[in-house]
Amino acid sequence: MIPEHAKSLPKRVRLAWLVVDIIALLLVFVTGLIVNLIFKLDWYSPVAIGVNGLFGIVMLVIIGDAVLIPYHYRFYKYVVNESAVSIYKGFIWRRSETIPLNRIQNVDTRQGPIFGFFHLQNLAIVTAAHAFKIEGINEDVAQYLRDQLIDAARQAREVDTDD
Amino acid sequence: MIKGSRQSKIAIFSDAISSIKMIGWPIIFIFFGGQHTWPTRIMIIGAGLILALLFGFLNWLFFTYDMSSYELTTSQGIFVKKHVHMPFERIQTITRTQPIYFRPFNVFKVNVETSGKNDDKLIFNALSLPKIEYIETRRQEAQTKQSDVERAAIQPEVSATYQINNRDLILYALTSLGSLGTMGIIYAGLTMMNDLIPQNIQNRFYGVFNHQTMTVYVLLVFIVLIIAIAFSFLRLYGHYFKFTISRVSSHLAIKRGLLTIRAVNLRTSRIQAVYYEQTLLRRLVHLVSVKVLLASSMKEDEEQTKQTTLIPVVTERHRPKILHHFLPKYNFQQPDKAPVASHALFLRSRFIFLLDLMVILLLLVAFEFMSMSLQVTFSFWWLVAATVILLVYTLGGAYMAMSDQGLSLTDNYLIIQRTINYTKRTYFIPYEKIQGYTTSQTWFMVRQKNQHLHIIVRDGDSSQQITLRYLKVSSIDQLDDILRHVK
Repeated sequence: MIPEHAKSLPKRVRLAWLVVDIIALLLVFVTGLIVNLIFKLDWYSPVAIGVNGLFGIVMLVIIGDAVLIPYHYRFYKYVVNESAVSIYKGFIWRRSETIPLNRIQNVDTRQGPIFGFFHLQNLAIVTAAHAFKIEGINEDVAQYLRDQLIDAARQAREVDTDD
Repeated sequence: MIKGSRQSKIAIFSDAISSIKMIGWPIIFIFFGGQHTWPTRIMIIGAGLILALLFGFLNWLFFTYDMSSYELTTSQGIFVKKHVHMPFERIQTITRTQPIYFRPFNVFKVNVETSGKNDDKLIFNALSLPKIEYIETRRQEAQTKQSDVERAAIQPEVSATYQINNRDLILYALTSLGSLGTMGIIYAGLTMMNDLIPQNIQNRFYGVFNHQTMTVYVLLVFIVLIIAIAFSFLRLYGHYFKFTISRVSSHLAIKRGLLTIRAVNLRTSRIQAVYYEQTLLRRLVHLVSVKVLLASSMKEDEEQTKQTTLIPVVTERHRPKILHHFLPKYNFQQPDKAPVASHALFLRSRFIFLLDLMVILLLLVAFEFMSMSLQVTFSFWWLVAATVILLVYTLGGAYMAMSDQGLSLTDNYLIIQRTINYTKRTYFIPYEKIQGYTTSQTWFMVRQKNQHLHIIVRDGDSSQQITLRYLKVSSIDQLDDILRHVK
């Protein structure tokens, strides 16, 4: 169950995701076109059907992802409180991930050119075993969360379980 | 204080052997492929050997190490110099391996690890015993706190020792399913031989083979199976021969092996979880293996997997008593039945059944496609038999998985029991070692208020998810409350 005080991502992340999908779609389309031109594929040969079918499937997946952006946005929430950080995803397939603050080893912020244009950042929260991401939050919120999480992790006392 | 030292010269041969293993296949390929004369072939082999030796010599020449009173430093590389500094205090595990050809020289391969994640380790190819003892002594000095010193004065140095007995080891080797893997290796070996044996000998062999009766074929399969079981038995027996585990203060020392002796010294604080493992076969004879998940900078390779075995085999009855000597803080109680939803078994079986239907549908399509396009005729009964086997195996597995699920929340430990592929595992995880957790559910599960729970624990250099299915949401809330407040 998603807590009521869970935060949503900024609204412009939808546009950023759409731009990423459009660029990916264009790249796959152009690559497919180049492959067809270089290898002079006969459209009715089994090889051409296989190769173009593969490109077609990848493009359909990207289009599907773009169509589902409002769904992803609506059901993508996160909560940071004094004891843990959690993210909640999905409605039909629901998934929540929680990391207690004192397990956090490191917090990274990452920003590609598209997210940079929209002043968004990805926040990667790293434990000793794994990492999870909060995707596309405001730059200032990312920096604030980063500082807050690092502070909390620093305050967590070290545990010595030697027998 | 040791400065600018080089390893024993045996390191040259050890490195050369590793290089030969690496370049061995290309050399065999060149040796047998093409129309080379015998002198050329011998030259190819000679060049390969010289290259390997040269590689070993250069590695030895450009690898030096220093040992001060507080840190271990290595320098290596011909063009790009790499220096690694490792304070003795940070060393978590020292692993010594002595292959049979190292024994006359009394040197060991040594692996020194910290708990870091990114290849934070030192590897010595051949180090003499006094040098290893120097590292061990410095590490112990650096890691001994005042309280430990006081305790050491009262307590004996070795707190507990356990050595596997021959009967248990034989039972362990006999109940291993490794013989199936050995059969695979024999088959791969025969296929490779097929490429190398001259055509006329192959033809003669097939001529003899094709004219045998069914009894002879069955006999051949039986012989291959016996050989595979024997190989698997000898491999496991040699691997865990004289397996001994000792506890010295906060360290566990494990020693084992017949031909290659391997000794591991690990800090108990590196243990992320302890678990019992019981295959279906071992469940029948009441035997259990005890393993651990370790924090390590090593990649998940074969050696690392073997290193995580704490006790290869122990009877269910003696298990708690023996383990208590080595990990006294752990509470090895049996977990309670997991609080699952009322129709959990039905839900799981239905899900597996639907997956099976998809697989069977794919099989049917492939079957029809092959019959139509390749003009190959298959008996329809093969498909029926495959379907029945698949259904029995997967639904049987689902039944065991759901009926074995266990969960207990004690003061300091989370105890989880789960079964995958008919192998039951019971995990004992200190709360402070749980790195995080994930829950998942479909929209249909929301009304029934149940979720899947995935606990994330460090395993080697990455993570392992331990999953319980169809748990009541209330039990997950209880765990959530504990995890958020455990330091």
